[in-house]
Amino acid sequence: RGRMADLMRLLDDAPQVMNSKDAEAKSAHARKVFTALDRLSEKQMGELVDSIEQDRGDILLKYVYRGLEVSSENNAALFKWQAKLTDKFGVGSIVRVLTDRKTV
Amino acid sequence: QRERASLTEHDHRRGRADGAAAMATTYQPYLKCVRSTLDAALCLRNFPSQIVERHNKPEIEVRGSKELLLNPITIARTEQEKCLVEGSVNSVRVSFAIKQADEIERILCHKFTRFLMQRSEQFVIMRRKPAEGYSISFLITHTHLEKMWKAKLVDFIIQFMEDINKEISAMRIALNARARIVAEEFLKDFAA
Repeated sequence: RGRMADLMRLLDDAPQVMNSKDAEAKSAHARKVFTALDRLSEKQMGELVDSIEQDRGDILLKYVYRGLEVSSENNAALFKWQAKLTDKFGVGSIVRVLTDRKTV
Repeated sequence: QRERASLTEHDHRRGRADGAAAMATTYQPYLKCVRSTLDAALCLRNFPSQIVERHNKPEIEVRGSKELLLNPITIARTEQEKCLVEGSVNSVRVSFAIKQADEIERILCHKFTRFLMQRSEQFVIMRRKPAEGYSISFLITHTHLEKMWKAKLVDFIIQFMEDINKEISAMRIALNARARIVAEEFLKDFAA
């Protein structure tokens, strides 16, 4: 539970990182999000995606795509995250990742 | 003995048999992710050039105006195997880097993709030169989407990449099998 709340808090802090142009701050925040994502099990993944609302879901998807840019062992989990988020929020959320100027 | 050897080579293609079994299982999720990303990126419309009148160019190739380009997305399954989706208002460039595990596969992949790219007119959506750092690229414009169904186009691209992987794997196995037979025959002369 605490882990899901951690992730929620990181997602809430994300907009201020997104609005800045500081690449360092963005990478630092991204690293924290990835560690938080790692610690969630698959069941918690499902619960979190079900409970989350669209704005936070979009931000989370942006982080998932950022994570997928570099290959790492977590990519299998990241694919699952992407699949779950897309199932819930539809193709539109991916379009928002592609078009939003405020990158994560 | 030959079958056993060819089986391990097949495993090798899908994920090394020595333990990165996780790699073998991420192939379908990787393709699924690429598919949904393509679904989203392939929302194109006709957009004549803003710079030259009466011209209509794929903006992803021209890259003249920043406001017409979307954020590029890279989906990496492994270090070598990844997919780059660059979108714009009227065109999308999809580039794939094919897994090349050793020298033989590198040569096979290079020759095979060169063969395909020389005939890219037949493939309609294929690009004659791959993007930097990738093995093969597709350029899809709004005119293609006006003539062809988007769902079928995405199906085609995913199927194409799967088939390329299978082809290269099969070629490698055939090559090694042939080499083994030839070497056996040749060395029989030297056996007692």
